[in-house]
Amino acid sequence: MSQATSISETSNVPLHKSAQRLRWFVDAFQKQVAETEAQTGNLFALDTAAMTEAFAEWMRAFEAQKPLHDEDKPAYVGFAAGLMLSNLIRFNPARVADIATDADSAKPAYFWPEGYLYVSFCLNVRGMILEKDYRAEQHPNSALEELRTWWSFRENARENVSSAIAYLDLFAGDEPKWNMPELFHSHSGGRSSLPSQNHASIRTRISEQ
Amino acid sequence: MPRPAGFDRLQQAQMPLRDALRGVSRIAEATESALEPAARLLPDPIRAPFHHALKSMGKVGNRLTKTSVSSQQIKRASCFLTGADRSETALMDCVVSFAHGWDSLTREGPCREEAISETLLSELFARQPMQPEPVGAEQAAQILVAIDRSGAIARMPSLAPAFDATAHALVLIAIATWLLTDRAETREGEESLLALAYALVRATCKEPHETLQDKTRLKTVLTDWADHL
Repeated sequence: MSQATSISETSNVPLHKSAQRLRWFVDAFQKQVAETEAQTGNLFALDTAAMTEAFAEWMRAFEAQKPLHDEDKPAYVGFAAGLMLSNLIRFNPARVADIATDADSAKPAYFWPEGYLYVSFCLNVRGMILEKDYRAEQHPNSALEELRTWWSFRENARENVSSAIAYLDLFAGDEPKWNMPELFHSHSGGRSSLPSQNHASIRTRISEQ
Repeated sequence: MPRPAGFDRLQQAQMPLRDALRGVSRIAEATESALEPAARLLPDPIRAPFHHALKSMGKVGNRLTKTSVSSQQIKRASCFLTGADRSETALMDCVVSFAHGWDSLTREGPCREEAISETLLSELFARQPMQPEPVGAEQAAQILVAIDRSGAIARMPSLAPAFDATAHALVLIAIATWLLTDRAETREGEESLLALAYALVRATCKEPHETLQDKTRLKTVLTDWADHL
């Protein structure tokens, strides 16, 4: 998975604040696309309107569940990255225009090129924010390279896009919350507001395959 | 003889001339589209010069009315909109920045039949009661509501398409969002920011026309969207 180091910026503003701005998101996403294209040989066509829709919807969901307590903030970074992944999958702002000639469909990057791009972006942003703003490290799980997991991820995301939040936790090496993944679970006993979405649990989990 | 209010401003920057050319260019563009079915009936030797004449009017008008706005002017326009700078210079910069925003967002897109008048806008800005202290988006919301209620941006007379209140409101709110957000590092960056402001407002604003009527609601959303742009 490509590490989009160029996503980062040098300003004094904390990265988690910059990431809440559309200008930063568009710039960072375009850099991720360029890096993923260089890494995989796949080419993507970008839809700016869909990118903005994904960001706007993410912003709404992000604001709706923002934690009240500081100790919840690092966990919320992971949750917010998952929310972003679910919205990227929903609005699909990057469509693969050309697959690499030597593509091996047993590899995640070629099995689901858009999903791979979105996961790369969300994991990279998640990891950088945790590292720069919260001095925490991200340790991606080996499931990230497993086609079986990606097959399950794609099927579940098609059925319930919120399941992407749990899958990103899994890929990032965290404990996924398969039940109601769209609901942030406060560690400090603070509130967790309920978004008005489908709360059905994910039917097919990796452990059941 | 005392000068009428706003006389100095009208002398500046050839605003009335740009307003007139802006009107001509918008009418020429709209006329060409409106007469397209009838133009097909014209014999070739007449049709080509007819198209050429209208296209030339549109192009020349667009070129001459293209307001050149610097990063510094956009910065001052932003300060005027929040009430932080009430100088005559800031007022004029806000006028040209607004006109630039309107022209850029509507030239190829929505509200092509509506033209902005820098002259009327400058008069309107000069009449606005300014808050005693800079108040951010509250001042901006007040100005935006006033623009909407004025004739400073209006559909050109005799052009057929109906007034699109939603598109009109989206463009106005997007321009204010752009001016209220943190400035881009480069002049090119400002153009991208303006386009992003429009995309963000279009994706987020569910009732643009109603929002533009409600100063309190407008203040809240302008603050929010400028923060997230």
